[in-house]
Amino acid sequence: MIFSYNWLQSFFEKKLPKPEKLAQILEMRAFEVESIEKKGKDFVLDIKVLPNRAPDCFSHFGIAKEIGAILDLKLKPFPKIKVNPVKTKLDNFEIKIENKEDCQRYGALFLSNVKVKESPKWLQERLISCGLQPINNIVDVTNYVMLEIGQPCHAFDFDKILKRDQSKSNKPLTLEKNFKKWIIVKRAKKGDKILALDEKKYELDNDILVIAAKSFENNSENILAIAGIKGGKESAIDARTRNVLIEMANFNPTLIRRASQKLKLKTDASIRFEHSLDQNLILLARERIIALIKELKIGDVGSFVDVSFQKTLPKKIRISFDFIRESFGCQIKEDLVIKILRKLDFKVKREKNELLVEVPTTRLDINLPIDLVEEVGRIYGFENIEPVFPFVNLALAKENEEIKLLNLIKRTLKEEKFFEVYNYSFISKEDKEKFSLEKLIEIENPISSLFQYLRPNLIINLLKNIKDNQKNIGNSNFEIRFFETGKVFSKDKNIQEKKVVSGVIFTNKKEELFYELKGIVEVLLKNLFVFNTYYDDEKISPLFTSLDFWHDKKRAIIRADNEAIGFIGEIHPAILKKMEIEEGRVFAFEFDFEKLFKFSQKELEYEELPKYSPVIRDLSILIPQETKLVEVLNIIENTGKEILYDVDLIDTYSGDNIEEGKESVTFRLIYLDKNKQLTSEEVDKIHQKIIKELEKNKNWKVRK
Amino acid sequence: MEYQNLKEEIFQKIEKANTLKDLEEIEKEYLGSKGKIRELFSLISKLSIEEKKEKGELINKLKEEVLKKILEKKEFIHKNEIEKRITEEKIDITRPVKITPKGKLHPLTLVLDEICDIFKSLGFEIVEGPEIETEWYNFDALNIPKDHPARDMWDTFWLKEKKDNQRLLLRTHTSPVQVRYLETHNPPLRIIVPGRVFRYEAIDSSHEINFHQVEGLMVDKKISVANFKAIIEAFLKRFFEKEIEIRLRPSYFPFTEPSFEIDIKRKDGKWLEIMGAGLVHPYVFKNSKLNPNDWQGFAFGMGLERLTMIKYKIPDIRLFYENDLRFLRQF
Repeated sequence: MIFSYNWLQSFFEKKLPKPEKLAQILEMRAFEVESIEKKGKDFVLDIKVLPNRAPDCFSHFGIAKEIGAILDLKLKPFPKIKVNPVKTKLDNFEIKIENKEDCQRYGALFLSNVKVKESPKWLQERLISCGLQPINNIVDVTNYVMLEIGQPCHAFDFDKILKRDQSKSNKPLTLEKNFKKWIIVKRAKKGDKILALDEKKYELDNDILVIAAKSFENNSENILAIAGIKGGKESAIDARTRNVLIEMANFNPTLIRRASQKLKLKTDASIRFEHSLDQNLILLARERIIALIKELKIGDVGSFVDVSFQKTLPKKIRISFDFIRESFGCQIKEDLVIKILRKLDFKVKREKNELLVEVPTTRLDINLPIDLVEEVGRIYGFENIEPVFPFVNLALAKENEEIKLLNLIKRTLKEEKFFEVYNYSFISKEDKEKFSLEKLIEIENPISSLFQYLRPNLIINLLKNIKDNQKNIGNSNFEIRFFETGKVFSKDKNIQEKKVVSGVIFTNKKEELFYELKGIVEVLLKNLFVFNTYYDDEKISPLFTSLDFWHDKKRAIIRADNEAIGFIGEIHPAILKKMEIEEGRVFAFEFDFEKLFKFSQKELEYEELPKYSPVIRDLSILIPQETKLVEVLNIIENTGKEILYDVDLIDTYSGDNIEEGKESVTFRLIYLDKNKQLTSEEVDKIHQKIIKELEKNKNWKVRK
Repeated sequence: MEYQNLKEEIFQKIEKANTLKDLEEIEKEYLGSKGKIRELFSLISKLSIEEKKEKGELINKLKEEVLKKILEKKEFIHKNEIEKRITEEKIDITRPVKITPKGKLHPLTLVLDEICDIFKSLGFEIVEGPEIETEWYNFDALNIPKDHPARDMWDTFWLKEKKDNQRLLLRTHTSPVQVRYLETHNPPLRIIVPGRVFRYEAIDSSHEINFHQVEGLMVDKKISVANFKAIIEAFLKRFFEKEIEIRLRPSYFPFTEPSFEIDIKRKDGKWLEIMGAGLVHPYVFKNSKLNPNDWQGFAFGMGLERLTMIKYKIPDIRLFYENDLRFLRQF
């Protein structure tokens, strides 16, 4: 909010520090100052008044009081006013508030014999400094008072209100004995409209509070203004205005806020009302308006009608010195506490080790003892509190096992040459359509259609990363490996939020990297101590993607104990095409982190090292290409039994010298007995037995 | 001496030998199973015992001398070879080299790990919470009521979905975890809560629609502003690896009272805002079913992106989410 330096200065006899210095002081004790700008002979400060202090500090008077408290300076009192109301014929009106929840208090001041003209230069300058356009002396005075003390005021042309009624009733304007005008504060009806001062027409409804005029003669009602937000064009002050009604009211903050949001209309008044105001401010507003009307000789002051339901009395809060000291964690002198509170306009009564503090009604933010602690703290200066380490039990923090496992995953993938990425949690409307995604969670107020849905998997954005990086690398042969860990979202019956680990390998050559990725997945599972996993390529359903993301023949679900924990495969070329990834292949995996955590074994036990040397035999077998190696392996393992220590696949080959449709596969068999050294003869005996078992299958031939 | 000539012959050959291979051949020629010295033994087998003994000793002596000579020469050759390698071989230290590509962790992960490590060493437990939140945990429980202007401090993404008639949103801060944790755990406690948060904002060089916060919460019988200052100073000193001057400025968060902003002093003397903090508001304890008269605490929240940008001098927050390999490789 913009404040004029000269205006602030005008509250003090003594000279204030220079604008920059004043800004620094305010920053350390009250509010941040966003900018200081020279404007003519004045400086304007953009002060970021904290939202809880809006009720008392959205005004020059409020900021001046803060400065006074911080710098220990006295404010000049406002001049006292004497009023002898000049009662005219028209000056006969009544205020009616339909619902006291909507409007706690409504004050209206009648002015007659008004001469509308330009305001004096000093007043215009102050308004201009604060970014307001001078209009005429009446409107300027209402705006001035709002900027000065924070109470929004509004001026109606009283004659126009009357004339409007007359035109409707087609009766001549009569000021009979029973003449009386009603000003009503009420909810609008659906279908009501108003042409506001900004020349725009607003459609109103029951959620919007309005000021209406009602006449006795014909019982007609006219909407004059959108309460607390904007006045109506039809009752605007103009050069011919003679009689004026000035409104100073206190409206329900929530109501004003909702109406302002609904109408998309934020005004200097609405901002102040929605932050709440002290209803007693109306009395000060009346004084200041009257003082200015007289000073500027605008017209005659008539009656003042003030309708309220419940008085706002100062709150009383009891606070102990111990509580203040315990909150700060330092010794602060009792006299200093009292002095600070008094500087801030609190009335303080000492009662032994406690204080009874009376809070000014403008300070809507002060409700609890801890609120007073903050007041003392900021004026005392938080920098004056020396750091002290807490005196607490030396308790060991519990290890977060999930985060530990996640870090292990990240480190393993890094070792496997993956780059970690952080993507948006959103995907676009286009993504949804392109990949026919379902069960997505939609944002009600997306920033744009690019971020309309929450991501159902990590793979879509990982593919985008590949596409974006492709152009930076150029055409030479390359491979990109990315992984991400993060939350994905979907809805079934319920809303699902799941932590996922996903990785992609892109190659711009036509290489088969499926087995490479399978190897990485196995290293990962081994590092996480997730054992007894297996792949299933029959009953397939991807965890977070849909089937059409994957190559029909190169995909498998990863299970542990019959539970799906992950998915691996090559991304379908059609998906890459949709993604505009040219040339190359992408292999990917996705894991449900919860499942990895569930199956990760926390306890690891050392296995004794073998005491004897292994005996190694290689075995090559010619098999039909469609044979699954697990069939071969099962026979080898079941025959080799306990002395077969390990089997590795070391080579596969098809092509020259190999029969069409067949493949030569070589295994390395490692024989080892834990209890004794195996001899060549013993090993050969078992090895031959394995060969014999394998060759029982007529389609298989062990190469010798 | 009848073996003198043979000895000289062998010694000359050894002298001339240049390589270990030459020496091996000499060894084979004279000392091998069919070698000349072996032959000498068979020649004397027919002599008388005295002569055999006398000559045998001489031959054995010759054999030992040859072995010794060969060994000396071997050592000499080894030494020569090493010297030769040392003199002949060299490198050009300025020659560019090929670097085997390795994977990398994202800078946000690196910095978060550091932050977590420091707080872990201060006895803080790491805790997480959901990214989709209810209106209650994100706002109301934190003393930010509906239709209150304070809500404007957090521009919110709302979901079309509802849960048990409650509006759902993407959490705008990690603070809801304060209430979630306090509801289920008894103080005293010390936690930090890293996590992703969301704001409905225009994206520019310092604003993103999703980013990360690290929330801290410490609750005990008596926890003060002074305690907060000590903990946070210790953290910042370790994090920036130097003495850091900090200052607390008054601020406002509905869920802390008093509230302050924490600034650190930069090299150029300017102050840089790095986190918001305060003492836990009594309403937050109340909403977590704890008696505010029994407990005190402090809470703070800092932006992970912001700290990472300061640490690595990254000028633009958008770089974190572009995932350009040329960026990722640098960390």
